[in-house]
Amino acid sequence: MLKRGTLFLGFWLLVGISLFSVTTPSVTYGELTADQIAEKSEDVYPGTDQQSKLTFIIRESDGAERKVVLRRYWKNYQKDSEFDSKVLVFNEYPPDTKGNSFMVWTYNSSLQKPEDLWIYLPILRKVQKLPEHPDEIFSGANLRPSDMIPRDVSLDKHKLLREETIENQQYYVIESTPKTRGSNYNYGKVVKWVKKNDFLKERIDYYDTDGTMLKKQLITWKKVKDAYVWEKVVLTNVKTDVQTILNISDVEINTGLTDASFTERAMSSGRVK
Amino acid sequence: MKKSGLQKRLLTSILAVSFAAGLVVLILVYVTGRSALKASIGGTFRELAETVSSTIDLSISYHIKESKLLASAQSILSAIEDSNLLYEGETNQEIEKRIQEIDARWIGGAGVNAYLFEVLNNRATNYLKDFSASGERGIYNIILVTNEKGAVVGATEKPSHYSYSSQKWWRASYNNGVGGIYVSDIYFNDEFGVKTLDIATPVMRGGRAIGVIMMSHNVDTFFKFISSTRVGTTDNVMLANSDGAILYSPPAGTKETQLDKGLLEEISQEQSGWLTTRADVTYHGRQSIAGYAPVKITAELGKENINGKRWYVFTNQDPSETFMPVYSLLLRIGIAGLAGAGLLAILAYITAGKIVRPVKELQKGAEQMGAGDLDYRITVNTGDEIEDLAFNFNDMAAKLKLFYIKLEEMVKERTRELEQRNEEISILYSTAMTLNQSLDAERTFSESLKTLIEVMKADAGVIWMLDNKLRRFAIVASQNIDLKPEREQKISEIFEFIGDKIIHSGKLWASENITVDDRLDSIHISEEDFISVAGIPLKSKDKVVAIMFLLNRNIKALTSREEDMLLSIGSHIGIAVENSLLFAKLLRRDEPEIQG
Repeated sequence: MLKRGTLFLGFWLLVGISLFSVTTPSVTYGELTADQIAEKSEDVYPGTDQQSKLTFIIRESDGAERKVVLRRYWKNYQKDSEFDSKVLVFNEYPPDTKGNSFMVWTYNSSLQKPEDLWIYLPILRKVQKLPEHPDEIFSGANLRPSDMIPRDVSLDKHKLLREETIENQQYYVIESTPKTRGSNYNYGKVVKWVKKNDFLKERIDYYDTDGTMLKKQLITWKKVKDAYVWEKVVLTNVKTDVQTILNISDVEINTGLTDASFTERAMSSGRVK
Repeated sequence: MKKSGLQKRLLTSILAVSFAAGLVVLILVYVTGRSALKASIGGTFRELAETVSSTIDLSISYHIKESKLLASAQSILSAIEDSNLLYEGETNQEIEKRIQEIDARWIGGAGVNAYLFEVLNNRATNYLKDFSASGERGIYNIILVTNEKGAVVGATEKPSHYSYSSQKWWRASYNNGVGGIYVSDIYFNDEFGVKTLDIATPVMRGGRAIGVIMMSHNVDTFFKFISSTRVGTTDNVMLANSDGAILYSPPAGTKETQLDKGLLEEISQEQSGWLTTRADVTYHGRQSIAGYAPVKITAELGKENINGKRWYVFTNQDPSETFMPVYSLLLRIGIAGLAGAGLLAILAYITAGKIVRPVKELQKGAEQMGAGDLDYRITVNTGDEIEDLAFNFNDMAAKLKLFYIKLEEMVKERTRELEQRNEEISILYSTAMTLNQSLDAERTFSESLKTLIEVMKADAGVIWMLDNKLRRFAIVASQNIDLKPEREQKISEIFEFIGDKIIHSGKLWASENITVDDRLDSIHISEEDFISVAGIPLKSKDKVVAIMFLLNRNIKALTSREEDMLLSIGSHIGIAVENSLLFAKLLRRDEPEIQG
């Protein structure tokens, strides 16, 4: 039986990694507005494609841990393309999930088209397409798929709360509040710590509509070639005290992945061309 | 100059001897006591050093085992394995580069650091924290775990570095995947501000090192037991390495950081022992006792550990406390000695008095006797030689007195003899003069009789001589005697009896009391006027020519000298009588010859 947490993780990664890949940041900045800072922090240049290994460690409040290892393939598309990105993930660990795979295609935001998701379970020997709004089936998970879906900065109102220095690092602290309440977005606001020197988001706090903090996310970035990618992410659910640690390793950039790499056949065969 | 008294001298002598003996005892007690105490304390300090050394051995062994146990914990193993897996697909160069990048940010500007957050909150860290909390409080500065690349996987505190691959402890313990125990020398850790002892243990999996656990110990806590290991109040047990650096000293111990070179050489032995030194770190210049013992595990661990040095435990103690028992003993002996001396002085005074009193009595007696009082007697009842001496003094006095008495008697005797001799000479002279003045026999008889009666203070006298006409002995001369015929006959019997004895013996015959004289038992002696008779032979040519009887009405004894004198005088008179008779014969041719 496929575990709900595992499903969630796969999905989270499918989306999240692409979401938090950014372009090489600018070097010099003058007085910036909150919108500009938000935009720069989200100014994604994911490259053409990525391959990487994702190791998740989920630590429950009682200290019990679970580990999940995934192999991820991601391809970025030009802005004028139909697609925004395609991601394919294979489960490698734990052994009982090995062979499971997920795939998601995200479309250009101008098309206002929801993403498509597929799942392959070896035990069923069948690729299955998931519902349009998978949050409902992951309602018990720490993070919902919608958390990681790229969100247009124009959908939120950004406010520069302060500039803060932490351990000799200077940050912009930006508060982003949705302009309108939507069904796929469940947070009242998020607060982001954006490094002043490279605009990398290193901390994100999530709040509900009542202003109560829900989660805290810490991110360490790694520069691979011209891009910065996540290397380690620690996500803490403040309410449940469940901690998720993500280690991204064996990262390769611009490996020449094509559309043929992201197919149901690839999902079921476990081989990516 | 006044002489000191015997009692005072005795007292002084006794006290002097006592003080001398006391001083000798004190010196002996000090020398032997100090020597014995040094051996005893030295032995104790050696045992103390051995005990601490053994405890250090055990403690380090225990913590090595503890770190090995920690290294086998599943939480540690899995955390390290997960960490190592993240390097898959990357070259060593890429890995090293990325680790150094993270380390640089870790040291410099960490900012919001997911690595740090993860390191400080993962299961390995939680396990280490639980482990640390279960141990002795404050003993660990930090416990950290690295993966096979030297990157931190978990730690009880925020480590100062992310990468430890360049650290000596890490390289020694990881040992290119072979693994090995590493124990550092004790050093001052700037990060924690304390002296530190590091123990690093490889985390092994499948016979290969996959990571390292480093336990950094606070030496003050690690060696806390040393502070409480003591035998007195000022002794301290310390630890030095073979360079002489003082690695550990209790809070009450020395603040010095370096051991004297000479002392270091003495304690750097393979065997434990003790010594006396003037180079103690705390009591420099004073003779103190130190025990020492090598920490054996520092040799057993091999040269790659403890920076290739050895550790030595050594002790010290304030010499004042070390030798306090001797000083205390000396003080007590001194006090007891003074008290004893006081008591001795009293006893000596009394004893000297007892000794001197009879001596004084002797002195007094000697003075009395010397002054001539030989009747003085010394009274001493000591029952000893002094009493014997007093007895001898008394005996001497008695003998002296007796001697004086005898001497006086002798003088008297000599005087009397002298007088007697003078008297004899006078008698002889008178007799000679009498005899020389006449050749008439009758006159010779009467004059000599008269002279002798006078000289000998006799009451009367007669000369008894053979009468040729009568052809018998008859009185030829007399003085102061009534010679009535009846009386003459009676007395002639006595004269005849005595005269017969004298004629036959030729010797003087005398009786001081004829009434009781046994020699006269054969004749009847009635009450006579004269009871004392002396018959003197008047001899010529050894023949008795006549006998002179001197008579006394009272008892009178003749001395031998008187007898000799009378015999001598008798011979003179006898010769004179014979001469007179010869002269008369010449005158009267018809006179008969005297019969012999």
